[in-house]
Amino acid sequence: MNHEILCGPSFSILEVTLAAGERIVSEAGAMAWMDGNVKSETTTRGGVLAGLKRAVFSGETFFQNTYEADGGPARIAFAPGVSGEIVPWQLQGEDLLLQRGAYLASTEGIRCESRSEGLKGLFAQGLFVLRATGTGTMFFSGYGAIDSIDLDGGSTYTIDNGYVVAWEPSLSYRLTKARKIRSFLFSDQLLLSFSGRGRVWINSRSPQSLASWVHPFRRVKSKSSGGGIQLGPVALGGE
Amino acid sequence: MHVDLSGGGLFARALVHLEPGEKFVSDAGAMIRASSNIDIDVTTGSRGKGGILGGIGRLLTGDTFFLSTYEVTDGRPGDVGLAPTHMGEVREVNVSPDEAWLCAGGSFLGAASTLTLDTRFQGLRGLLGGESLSLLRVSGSGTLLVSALGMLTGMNVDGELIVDTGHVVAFTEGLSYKIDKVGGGWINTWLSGEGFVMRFSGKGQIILQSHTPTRFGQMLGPLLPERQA
Repeated sequence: MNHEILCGPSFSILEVTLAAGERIVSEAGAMAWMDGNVKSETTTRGGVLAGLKRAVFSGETFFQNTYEADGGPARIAFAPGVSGEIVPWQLQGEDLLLQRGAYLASTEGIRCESRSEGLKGLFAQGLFVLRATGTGTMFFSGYGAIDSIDLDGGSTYTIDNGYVVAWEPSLSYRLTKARKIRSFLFSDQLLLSFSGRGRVWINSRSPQSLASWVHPFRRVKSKSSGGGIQLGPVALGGE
Repeated sequence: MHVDLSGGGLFARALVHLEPGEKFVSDAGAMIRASSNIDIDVTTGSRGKGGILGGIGRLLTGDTFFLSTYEVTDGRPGDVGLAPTHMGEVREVNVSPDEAWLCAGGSFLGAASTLTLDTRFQGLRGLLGGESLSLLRVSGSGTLLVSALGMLTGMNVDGELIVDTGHVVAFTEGLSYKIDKVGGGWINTWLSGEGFVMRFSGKGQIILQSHTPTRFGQMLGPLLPERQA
């Protein structure tokens, strides 16, 4: 299997060339284009429960699609939902933990399941993250550019929870707060402090931040059912 | 102190490297990462015009109420990563004591604490199609980081330049400006959809952004379900 990242770095798309009989798995909906001799199969991969857990808890799709090059080599391309970078990552039996929605595709030897992060996960993007495990190549994506940060075990590193894309399980994290807070209204930013030896990936934009910014531009529900003229946002916040 | 800008055009971010004793200030929500020896101090004011009043000034301009100040605590170098909300470019402006800059509130990403930030409220918020204009006066010596929706373009002004308020990112104080309307009368201005423009004159530098967040927001907002007032 060969892969190439097209249209990067800002609008990355993953194009894979499969040898005859080779297979690749993706989240449902990610396939952008493919050759005519690609056979696809939609399953829950790991059973209904695994699919449900992925869908409900980790923000991924219930079904995963498996694509196979039938009778000869074939190309297939996958696109993430947001514009940004795609990172290929090799697993040799290790695990990789992914934030909600970061998973794009993986070779057949990799399984994905949701993993509870317990209560501390509540402060990240949900109670559950996605755990990829096995041997092969996997591809994950983020909104914007993706940077990796290597920790050497000697120090910790602080990251805004809305920007974490993936991290190695050798790292642990805990919720932290800005150490010295003199303000009286500091609630919208939760920081995670990573420690241990390993790598963490972050993206450079946040869909949540964009959504919050758009919010004041939404029309205001009027008390009567009439139309009324909306003279732009008067709400505070946003940039 | 030095700043690494990466991400080319579309998704730029800034990694600010701080030496002991140096401080950097940003919009409180802009920090995406920091080394563990960085102390984050959220206040309502920066150096100079600060405190509650400065904070209220910023509240009126529609920018985040809070500024975060970053500094290293353990005598070793540290780093802070900053990113804006929108897709677009980030640029470093070297402010010198000879000339202050005025920076549009929504384009401010961060500044060295050696700079003095002063809020000026232009009183244009929520008028005619939601156009607003708030300006931060940035003076002193140090690095100022500005961001854009889209790309940034800088130019030297010598004479007169008319710019739609939404495209203004920053300009040197030596330029004088008037808030003006494009067409003849106010009705015409409203109909033209151009809203307010800034009529610059004199000699100086100006940085503009290719797209205006307000128009982008006005396009997206009505496509979403109505919100509660």
